[in-house]
Amino acid sequence: MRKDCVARELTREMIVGAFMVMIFLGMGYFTIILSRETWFSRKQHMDVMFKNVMGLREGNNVVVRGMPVGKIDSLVLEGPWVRLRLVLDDGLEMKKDYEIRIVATSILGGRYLEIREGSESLPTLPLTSRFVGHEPYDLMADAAAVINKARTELVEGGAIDNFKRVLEQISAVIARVEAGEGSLGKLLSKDATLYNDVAGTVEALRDVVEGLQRGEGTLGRLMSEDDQLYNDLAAIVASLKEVTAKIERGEGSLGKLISDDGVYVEVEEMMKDVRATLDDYRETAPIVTFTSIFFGAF
Amino acid sequence: MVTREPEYFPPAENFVAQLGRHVIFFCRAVGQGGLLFLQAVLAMRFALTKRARQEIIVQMFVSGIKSLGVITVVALFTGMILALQTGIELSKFNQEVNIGTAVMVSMLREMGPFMTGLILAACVGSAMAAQLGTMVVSEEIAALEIMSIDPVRFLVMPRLVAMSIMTPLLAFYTCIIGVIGGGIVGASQLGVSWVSYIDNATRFAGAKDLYVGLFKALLFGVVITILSCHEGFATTQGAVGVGYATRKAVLVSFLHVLILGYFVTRLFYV
Repeated sequence: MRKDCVARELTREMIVGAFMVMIFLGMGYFTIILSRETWFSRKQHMDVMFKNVMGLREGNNVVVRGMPVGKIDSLVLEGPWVRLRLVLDDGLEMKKDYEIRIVATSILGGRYLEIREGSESLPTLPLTSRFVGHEPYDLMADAAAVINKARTELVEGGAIDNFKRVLEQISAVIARVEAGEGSLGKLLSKDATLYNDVAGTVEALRDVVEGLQRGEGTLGRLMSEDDQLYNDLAAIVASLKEVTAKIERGEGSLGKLISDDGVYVEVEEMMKDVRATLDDYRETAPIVTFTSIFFGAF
Repeated sequence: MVTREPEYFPPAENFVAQLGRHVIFFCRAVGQGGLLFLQAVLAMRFALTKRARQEIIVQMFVSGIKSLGVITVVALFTGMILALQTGIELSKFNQEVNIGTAVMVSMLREMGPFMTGLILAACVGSAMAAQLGTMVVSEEIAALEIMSIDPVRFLVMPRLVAMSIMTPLLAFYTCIIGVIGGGIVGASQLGVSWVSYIDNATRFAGAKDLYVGLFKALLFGVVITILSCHEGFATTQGAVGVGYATRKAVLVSFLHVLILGYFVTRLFYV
C-alpha cells in the first residue's frame, strides 16, 4: 500500500518535472529567438553622436549593407549631442569616409540606423573613434514639403483655373459633338451622310490600293515587280542628265546660247533687226495696200 | 481564524445604508484577501519542507497537468480562429502571410495568459473554492486550527506556489499550441507555408511580449488562488454555501483576470 503511494507520488513528480523541463526549454528557445540575441558571438561597441535622433529607440536595429548587425544599446543626451551606444557583431571596419544615418523603416513609423563603412582604399578608423552621424532624413517632413508645394502650385499658380478652363473647353467640344456639329459630331451623329462619304472614300482608296497592288496604271506598274517602266524612266532620266551636262558644257546650240555671250549678242542683234524689219513693214503696209488698191482700180 | 461564522444583519433601512454596507463588505473582503495573500507568502518559507513539497507537487499536478487536455483544445482552436479571422481579412490585400505575426503577438501578449487564466479559474479555482468550502462546512478547517495547524500554510500556500509556477508555464504552453493551431489553418486553408508562417511569427514578436505575458499569467495565478481560497474559507450555510462560494469564486476570478489584464497591458505597452 505504501509502495503504491510512493510510486504514485514519484509518477506525479516525474510528470510535473518533465512538463516543467519541456516548458522551460521552450521558453529558453523562444527567449533566444525573440530577443534576436547572438549570445555566443563576440560583440563590439561603438559610439555615434547625433544632433537629432528622430525618435530612434533603444533596441532599434543597426544595419550594414541591408543586413542587421547589431542593436542600439543606449541613448544619452550629452550637451548638444545625443550619444548612441551600439552593440555590433564582430568584424565591422569603419573607413575614413564612413556614413551613419537614421532611416525610417516605413512612412508609418519605426527607425533603424544605417552604417556605410566607406571606401576600402581609405584607412580604417578604430571603433573607439568619435563617429558623427548625418542629420536624419525626415520622410514625413519631405512629404509635407512636397504636399505644400503642390498645394501652392495648384492654388496660387493658377493650375486649378487652367484645369477648369480646359474642362470648360472640353465640355464645349463635347456639347458640339453631341449636337452633331463639326466632322466628328457628324461622324458620331445619327446622320449617316458623312459616314457614308467617308466609307465611300475608303472604299475608293481601297480600290486604288488594290489596283496598285495588281500593278494597274502607271503608278501601279511603277510599283509592280515588272521593272520595264522603271527602266524606261531611268533611261529618260539618264538621257536628260546627259543633255543637261552637254548644255552645261556649252555644247550644241542651246548650250552655246546659255554659256556663250557671242551667240546671245548675235541673237539679240538679229532680234533687233527682225523688230526693225517688222516696224518698217508695219509702216509701209498701209501705203502698199492703198497703192495696190489704187493702181488695181485702173 | 480564516473561517467565519455566519453573519446575520437586519435589512438596511434605506438605499444609502445598503450601499454603505456593500462598501464596508467590499473593503473587508479586499482586506481579508490581502491578509490571506500575505499569510500565504509568509508561509512560503516552509515551502521546501518535505510535506509542503509533496503537497505542492500534488497541487501542480492537479492544477497544471490535469488541465492540459482542456487547455490544449482551447488553445489550439483559439489560434486557429485567430489565424482564420485575420487571414480572411488579410487575404483581401494579399497579406495573408502575415497571420503568423498576428497570431504570435496576440497569443503571447494577451490570448495565452487570458485563456489560461479563464480555464484555470473555471477548472482549478472552482475546485479550490469547493474543496475548501466543503472543509469549512464540515469543520475540518476548525479541526486544523484546534490542532494548531495553520490552514493557510497547510492549504493555501501549496496551492499558491503551485499556481504561481504552473500558470505562466501553462500560458506559454497555450501560446505554443495556439501558434501551432494558427499554422495549421495557415497551411491548410490560407496557403501560407510553415516556413513563412514561423518566419513572420518570430520576426515581429519580441522577448518583451513573452515576458509580459508570463508576468500577467503569474498575476492571474496568484489572484485566482487567493480569491478562490478566500471564497472557500468564507463559505457558510452548508452545501448551499459551497455552491454559492464556488460560483462566486469563478465569477470574481473572471472579473479580476479581465481587469488585471487590462491594467498590466496599460502598464507595459502604453
